[in-house]
Amino acid sequence: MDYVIVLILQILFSVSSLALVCAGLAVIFGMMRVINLAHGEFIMLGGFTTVFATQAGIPIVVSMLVVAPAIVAVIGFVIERLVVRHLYGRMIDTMLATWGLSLLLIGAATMLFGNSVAGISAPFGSFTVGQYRVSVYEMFIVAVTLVLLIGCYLLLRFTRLGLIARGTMQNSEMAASLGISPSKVYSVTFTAGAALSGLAGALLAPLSGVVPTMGKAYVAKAFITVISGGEAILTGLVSASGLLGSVGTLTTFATTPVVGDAALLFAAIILLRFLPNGITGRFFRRSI
Amino acid sequence: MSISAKQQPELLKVSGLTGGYGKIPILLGIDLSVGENEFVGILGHNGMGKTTLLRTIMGHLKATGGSVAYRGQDITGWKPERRARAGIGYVPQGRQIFPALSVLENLQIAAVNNGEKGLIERLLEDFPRLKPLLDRRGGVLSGGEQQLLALARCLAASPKLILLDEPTEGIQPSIIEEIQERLTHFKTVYGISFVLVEQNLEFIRGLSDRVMVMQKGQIAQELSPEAIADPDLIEEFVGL
Repeated sequence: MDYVIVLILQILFSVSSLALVCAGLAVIFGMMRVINLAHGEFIMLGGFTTVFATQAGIPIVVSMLVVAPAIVAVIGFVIERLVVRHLYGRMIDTMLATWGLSLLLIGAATMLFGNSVAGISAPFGSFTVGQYRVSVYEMFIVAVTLVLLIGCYLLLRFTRLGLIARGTMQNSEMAASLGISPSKVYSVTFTAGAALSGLAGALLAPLSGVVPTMGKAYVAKAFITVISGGEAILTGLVSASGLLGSVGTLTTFATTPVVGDAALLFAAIILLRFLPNGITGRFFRRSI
Repeated sequence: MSISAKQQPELLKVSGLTGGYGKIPILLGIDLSVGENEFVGILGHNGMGKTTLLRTIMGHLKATGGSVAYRGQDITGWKPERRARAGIGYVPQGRQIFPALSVLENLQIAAVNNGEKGLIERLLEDFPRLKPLLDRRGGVLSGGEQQLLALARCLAASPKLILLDEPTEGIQPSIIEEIQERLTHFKTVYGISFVLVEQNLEFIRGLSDRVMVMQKGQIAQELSPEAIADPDLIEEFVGL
């Protein structure tokens, strides 16, 4: 019984951290059809920001939930202005440019921060379920992700800003004809996506450690999850993370983490073979 | 009719406008003026540049030469959203309803820059057919319902000038009549001006103060609406 509870908590944690890692990418790709290959580096920058801010004496929760998203948001805003803005509608060019950006950010981080693992220890300690020990911090990540997803849903569904974002996503030219500036919407979207990626890096920093190349570990999984989710940003994110995260964790429990990751990717390949437009291309089509 | 129209102050003035898609020229020097509270129809075959003209006036396509002036101000270099906020409305071909937004949201998104209280309630008085559909998604409406919604949505931004691209295309006759009656109402009651691009002769004749015939990227001829009733003349200019 305890084992089942621990397994369920572990699945919840895997699904949440996967959703968290994908959120920034899902927002930017879903809203703007921009494939941001520097997504992993936004995560890395969020991680470094958290480590440095915490080492500078800022409480760790503030570093993670406020400082890191804010700093990466500013970086994202500048990158949108300088690079991405000039390439809208040119998917291949955007991919090349953001890939270059990714290499640049890795190089710059290696030069500035060195190639060793910077780390902070996870706060909050642990609790026990029967004979098993569960990290409170992992459950904290589950809670933050849940709040974040609900917050995004409410924002998109019920606010003026959300309405403008959804309309622009569906038909940017028509939105412009109604007096909405698509370039402003894109700027806000990209900045918000960067902030989400920064938050993901911040929350994962105590668990994985921070190195300049850490983004590579996340970017492939994030992409395949977002593609598997399909068109509806939030529902796609939740359903694909839920499915692939569960497959990955269950396989990991039965075998090893490496086989777990392979199983996750294999499940995504099968999924996309039968649902080429992703989960929300077939199901939940009315959702956001 | 055309003389009296020219005495009114000009709302829109298009001079020597050229443009097209990429390097392919489609508009070869268009001159067009629209007065306050005037309804101008543009008649022409497919491929003569009617839609290109409206898209260029709206700013979705860059003009390669000539100018567009609105209320005496040169807006040739303006972005579409700026033109929209200045009071130019656009009902594009195919209606371009936001498919995943509800009918109500389609209206709300058009009104985001418009502070007028009770605006949507007033619009629904003008479009009673939309009232029972408010919660439906835009994408599931019939063509006629979508066209009415597209008009209502355009009006939600309180435009002074509306560019209409083939509003009767693929619409059942009963709704065409309703649209015609609504447009007349908006012209007389709200004083809105219109540029209508259309192939439906009866519709364009019933609404327009002046009719321009467009051929090969130019305005070939100006006709009075009565002249459209003459089949020989139409044969000559439009070949419809």
